[in-house]
Amino acid sequence: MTTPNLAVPAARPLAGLPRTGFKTFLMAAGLLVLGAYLVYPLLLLLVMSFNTAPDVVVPPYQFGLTNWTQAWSTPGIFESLRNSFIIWASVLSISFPTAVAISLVLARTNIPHTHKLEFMFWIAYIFPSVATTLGWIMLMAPEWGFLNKLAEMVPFVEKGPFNIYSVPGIVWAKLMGDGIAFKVILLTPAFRNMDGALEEASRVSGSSNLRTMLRVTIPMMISPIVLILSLQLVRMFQGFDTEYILGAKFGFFVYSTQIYRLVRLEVIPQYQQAVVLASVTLLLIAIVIPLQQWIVGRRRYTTVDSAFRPGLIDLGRFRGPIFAVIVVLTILLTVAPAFVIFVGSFMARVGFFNTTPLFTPIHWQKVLGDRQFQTALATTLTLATTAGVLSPILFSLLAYVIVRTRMAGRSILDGLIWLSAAMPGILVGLGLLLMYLTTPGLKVMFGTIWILLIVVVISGVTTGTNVFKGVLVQIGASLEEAGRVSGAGWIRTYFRIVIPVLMPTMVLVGMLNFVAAASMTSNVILLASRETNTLSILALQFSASGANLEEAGIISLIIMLLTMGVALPMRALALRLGVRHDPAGGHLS
Amino acid sequence: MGTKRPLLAILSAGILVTACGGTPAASTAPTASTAASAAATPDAATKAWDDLVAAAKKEGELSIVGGPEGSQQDGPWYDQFAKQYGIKVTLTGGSASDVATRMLAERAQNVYTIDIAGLGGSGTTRFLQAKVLDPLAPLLINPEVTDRSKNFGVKEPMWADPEQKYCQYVAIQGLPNIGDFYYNSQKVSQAELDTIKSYKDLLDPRWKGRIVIGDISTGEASRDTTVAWMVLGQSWFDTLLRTQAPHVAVNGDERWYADGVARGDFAIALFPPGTASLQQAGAQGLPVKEMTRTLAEGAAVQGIQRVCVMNKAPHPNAAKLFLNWSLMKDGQAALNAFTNRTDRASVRTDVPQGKVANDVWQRARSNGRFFSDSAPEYLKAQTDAPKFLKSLFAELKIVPGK
Repeated sequence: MTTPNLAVPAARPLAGLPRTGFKTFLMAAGLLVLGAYLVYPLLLLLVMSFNTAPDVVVPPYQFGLTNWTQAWSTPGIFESLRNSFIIWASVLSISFPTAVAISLVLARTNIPHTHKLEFMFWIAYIFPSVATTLGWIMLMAPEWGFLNKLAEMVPFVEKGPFNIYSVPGIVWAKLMGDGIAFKVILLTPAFRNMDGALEEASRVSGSSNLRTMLRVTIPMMISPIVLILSLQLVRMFQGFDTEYILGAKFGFFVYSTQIYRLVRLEVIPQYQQAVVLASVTLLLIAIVIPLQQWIVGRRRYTTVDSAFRPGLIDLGRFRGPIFAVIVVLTILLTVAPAFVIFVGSFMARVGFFNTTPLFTPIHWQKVLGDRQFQTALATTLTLATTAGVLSPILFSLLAYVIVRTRMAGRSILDGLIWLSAAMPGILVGLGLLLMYLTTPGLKVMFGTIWILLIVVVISGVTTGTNVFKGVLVQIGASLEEAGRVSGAGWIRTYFRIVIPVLMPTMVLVGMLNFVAAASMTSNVILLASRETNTLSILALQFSASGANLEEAGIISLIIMLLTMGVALPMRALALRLGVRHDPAGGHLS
Repeated sequence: MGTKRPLLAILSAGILVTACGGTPAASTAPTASTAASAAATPDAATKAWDDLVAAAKKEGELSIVGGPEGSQQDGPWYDQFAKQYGIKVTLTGGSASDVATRMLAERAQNVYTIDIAGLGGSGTTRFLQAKVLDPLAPLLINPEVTDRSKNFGVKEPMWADPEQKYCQYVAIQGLPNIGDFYYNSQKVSQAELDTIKSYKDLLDPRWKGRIVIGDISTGEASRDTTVAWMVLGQSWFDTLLRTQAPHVAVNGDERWYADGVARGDFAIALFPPGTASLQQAGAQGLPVKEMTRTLAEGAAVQGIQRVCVMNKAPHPNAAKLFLNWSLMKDGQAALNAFTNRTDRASVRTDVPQGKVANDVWQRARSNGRFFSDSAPEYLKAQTDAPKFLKSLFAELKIVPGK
């Protein structure tokens, strides 16, 4: 089947702006500032990787190639690369088709309670991955896991069959963490921006619903799919929490564990060698950038234009069973971490049912009575709200420039945004610290909340901008042309037409950045002062000694409640302001 | 319970402070001139002290950095200093790796934010190697601390650095044995426990696969490892690792280690990554107990809780005042009254016991063997042990966390 001709007039430079001189200046200034911010820490880290002084932050500095040769001779390094790939590929091969299928069902069919189901995936994403992992340990630990104990009650079953401390266990825990939920919440808004007329045309031509989905819907959605796959690819070697918690028990170490060991477990942290190891992600980025630019650029995927007609596919007799399957999945995704977090916060010691007393409010008292709690709460709310509001605006503008204009340098901007994802957070924090300390204009902000505000607003730039790119290529230029024909400048067109169409994505990216900012540790831990400590850093301080894990869990719970408190009303707002997709919704509202 | 403890602590501290006749700055002025570097006569010493207090008050601030446990547990002690002198104390802390990296990076760019460092071993080592600490001797001016002959359990300064210049311990820990030794009381019968007369008895086949240790190949439990190396020798470690197949915790994973003991996965626990979680498990009614019987190798006394002064400190007078206070009667009495750590007591003997438990108090004043961090034999063992253990771990393919 040939793809329907969906061509719309090619995207044009930002109309309404003064001509080339000003635009060039605007782009150059934007590139310079953003590029410097995104790439300078990375460059500092790469330069630092050649510093062979015993302690990388202590002068005098010496330079040589020793770190690059030593890093690759770390015992088990290639085995850990292989292990990372196994986990990544296993999780992706299950989660991606599952997430695409669920997103299609949620966005393109008449399944009941679609928005409630989608919101359950948001909640699953909001749960910290560590809590999810701990939850599944409680359920599937070989000797004492709840499910194993339950299985052993069955006649003839001597030993419970589940073992979370295994490769399948890690894959399961990651799927139940954000493996599926993250992709569903990113793909569903994009899938909603699909013109029902296209599917209708397919069905009129005699195709079944399934064939229509496979031959029309998914090919039309290739741009968000490729962008999200690219995001997954660059994070191949950065998965850490679940792999570390579960893998260490049976000697299964992934690549990020090696980086962690170099930074955290040496008396003098070997940041230089850690940077060397982390730089393999640059190779992945070198593959990702041209790949996604080629795929997204070779055809047009406009699905929302002035003739946009929302429409839903009737699931018929499968409606009930599919609904049930998704409900069961959302329960699996949310119940285990919810159990651990809520019940565990009142247990004297999580995982132990023989303490005296079994339940106690003491951990809550300790957290709420902590001298830093109120300051940390205020800082976290400030940071997360700022990130939640400003990040979507900034990232959508960046995506707009990359996708909708022909400005010189937009490919470089795109490349810089990808490059900024090269290093894991554990190293980005040091890069940012060095940047703020060595740059005269930025040094004055050191120790203030401004520095953290900048970090949290920009830190999700790779994911956020690419999510917007995926959606923007779906939106036809005819919508903006209609605005401009009516006399609106590009800013008015952007805010009155583009943003309402993007509203569900704006809210999604806002929520993602709110969560990220509220729970961010590695990027800000070297920058926060006592006055600007965040809840997540406080949680880290509680958990660092090992004796206060319950307190750390309570702080995660508080962050989660904060996020839900913000996500619910924001989502309601988005549903009111955005494009309606039910048949009654008609055209753009 | 959680709210009552601080309340009780505050009340007891109030009583203590009253009993000590209050602690206005002037009352702590020295009455003798012994070894006061800045003063030759009592009057001069008093004046030097009063000048220091005045200068510190004028600075008005003191920035302290602690490790993961210190920043959580020692706040109330620092608060007493703040209260006594009207100086605002800012305590930051967390992972020693992060804390030291940040401080050293700041200093490389001439940013100086911290006055006092109270980090653990690895953080202090980095500070020593980077030469960012001031020698303490010229800063210790109050005769209450310069003359240790009468009121200190250990008469010599308890240095916490090899050069015996930059860091001192301000608390003392008395252990019933040469290292921390815990066990699961449901997995080790009394009869079995009675068979353990010496650490060498732990090499008996009956303990094979039942022992857990910290990751001693990476320098974890450095103090216990070094002392055991000095007392038991290389062969004991060699036999332990080769024949007893001990479980090894991942570096820093104190909770996994303690939970494993509490759950009964491990019967005997040596070289722990930390003891707070073990002690907490015992207090929560779980079957975790400390071996309080002293074995053949004897008891041990050691310094704990470092205080070091940063060079180019932003508040040098407040730092100097705090250093003196931490070893003076007021500071030491406050340590006993307000510490949240259950394993230590003041180094001074002329202060009230405060809330330090009786057994901890008595052991700290016992005649256990004192292991000084800065003694040559200690330093040698500290170098030799990890080197040997690292190679043995590699040879035996020991995987921590398994």
